[in-house]
Amino acid sequence: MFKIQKYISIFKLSFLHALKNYKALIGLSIFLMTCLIIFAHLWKIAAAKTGVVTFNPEQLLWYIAFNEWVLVSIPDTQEDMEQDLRSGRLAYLLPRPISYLGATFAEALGTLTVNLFVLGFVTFLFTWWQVGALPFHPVGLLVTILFGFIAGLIAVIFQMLIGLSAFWLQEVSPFFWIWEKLLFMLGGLMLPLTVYPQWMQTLAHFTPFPAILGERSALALDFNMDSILTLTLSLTGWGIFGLICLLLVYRKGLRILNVEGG
Amino acid sequence: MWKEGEPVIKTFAFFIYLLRTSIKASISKRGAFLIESGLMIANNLIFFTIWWIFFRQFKDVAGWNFHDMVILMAVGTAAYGLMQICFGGIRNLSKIIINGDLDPFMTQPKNLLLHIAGSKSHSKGWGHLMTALVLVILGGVSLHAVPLILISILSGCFVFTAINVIAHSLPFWMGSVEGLSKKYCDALFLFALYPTNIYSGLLQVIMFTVIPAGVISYLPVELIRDFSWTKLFILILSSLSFIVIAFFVFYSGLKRYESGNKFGTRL
Repeated sequence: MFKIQKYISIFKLSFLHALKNYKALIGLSIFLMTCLIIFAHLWKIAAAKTGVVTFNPEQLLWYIAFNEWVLVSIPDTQEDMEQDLRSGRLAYLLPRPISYLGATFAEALGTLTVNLFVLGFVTFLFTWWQVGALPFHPVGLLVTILFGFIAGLIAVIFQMLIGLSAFWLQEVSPFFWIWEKLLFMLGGLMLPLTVYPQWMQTLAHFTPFPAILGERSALALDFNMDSILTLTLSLTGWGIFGLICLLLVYRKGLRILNVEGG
Repeated sequence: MWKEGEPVIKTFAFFIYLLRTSIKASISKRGAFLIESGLMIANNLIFFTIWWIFFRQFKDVAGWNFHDMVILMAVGTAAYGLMQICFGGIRNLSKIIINGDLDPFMTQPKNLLLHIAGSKSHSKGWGHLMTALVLVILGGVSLHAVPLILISILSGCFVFTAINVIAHSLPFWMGSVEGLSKKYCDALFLFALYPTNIYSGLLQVIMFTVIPAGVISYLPVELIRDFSWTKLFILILSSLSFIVIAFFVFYSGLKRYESGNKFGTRL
């Protein structure tokens, strides 16, 4: 069997498992719609208060929808990795003729793909029903969907990196929470980036957060080649950076591996 | 729900012993404990910074000023921290149900839900408590407000625990929905740190029922801003109601539990 086929098999299994777990998908859809309504209200308040929101109310809901769609779809891979490391299960996974990181990534990819498709469909219908308009270029929508998928992949890579912190910590959630809060704040989910001081706006552009959330979502509403190019470069750069960090931290972690009860 | 012939005092004593052991275990690795607590403080301060920036530009939000926001953050984080320290095992409930791991708990002659809740204490909860302490000190909270803040923290802790029980009981009916349960509970903590008075209509109803962020943070702030016995009564009654609902949901779900035929012991 070719090397890649092993990972494709894991992807397929994870895809089918996520698809079969339709009750979780229904739950996630309801959760996403609730979050969408709450954040739309928050942004309306922020827009009225600050006056710095450049989107009109129709565009605003679509912007939040594109953000929430990716955010809710990302699987909690870091928790599975924490469990593997803490329980000593990693000791049984390492001798397999397949990379642990590769298998975990393929598994996460399967779940992510199902979530993105199903939640994407639900988000699109719900937002369309709420707004009653599609204020974007069809090509812009397609590009945003593609970038949404890539952004989800990059988020998975960084969350795997967080999962590896279990080599040193009892729980990975403190790191995850910081990642999540920064994503909310610098990704432009909670408040528009323009509300923050200039130094924070500059700082945000040196992080992957705007590319994963805000800038990517804004692309659908303000579709232009410059933004596509910038976002492509940004997502590619952060993807490569994340992968390198992942490999380096994994190697370092394996060196200090101490299997609990193993 | 309650084992027959099991005195409440004995159950409470059991829970205290269990909790003591769980806390000892959670802080046994000093390095990890300090890092995790420090990271949780950093996490809370990141969130606090957003509101600080917002209130610096716009002096009030729906009648609330920055001082009210400090109290909201202090109560919200402390309540969540206390839940993680005292009832941290609830966060594993969905996994326990999915894996059929309830059996070792069920074979012991103790209250099942309390046993699971006290079986784990999360060290990061201390980070939340420390954040709250810093906020109370820096926020210049007056001494007469301290008892009300403590009551609010306790009430918030019970509501967080109750919602965690309800969310993590979902696998009884829905199967493998651990991720959903976790996302729901995390969202509750996130929305509890928002000023709930900005919502209106249906959203406000949601914020006091499905996602009871209003009970955790809005009611305490209103209580401290303008004390009245009625508000205090509503706060206590609301948190007690959520606990009763949580017990009801968990024990209703338990009837649907299918054993994993798992052999194991809990020491």
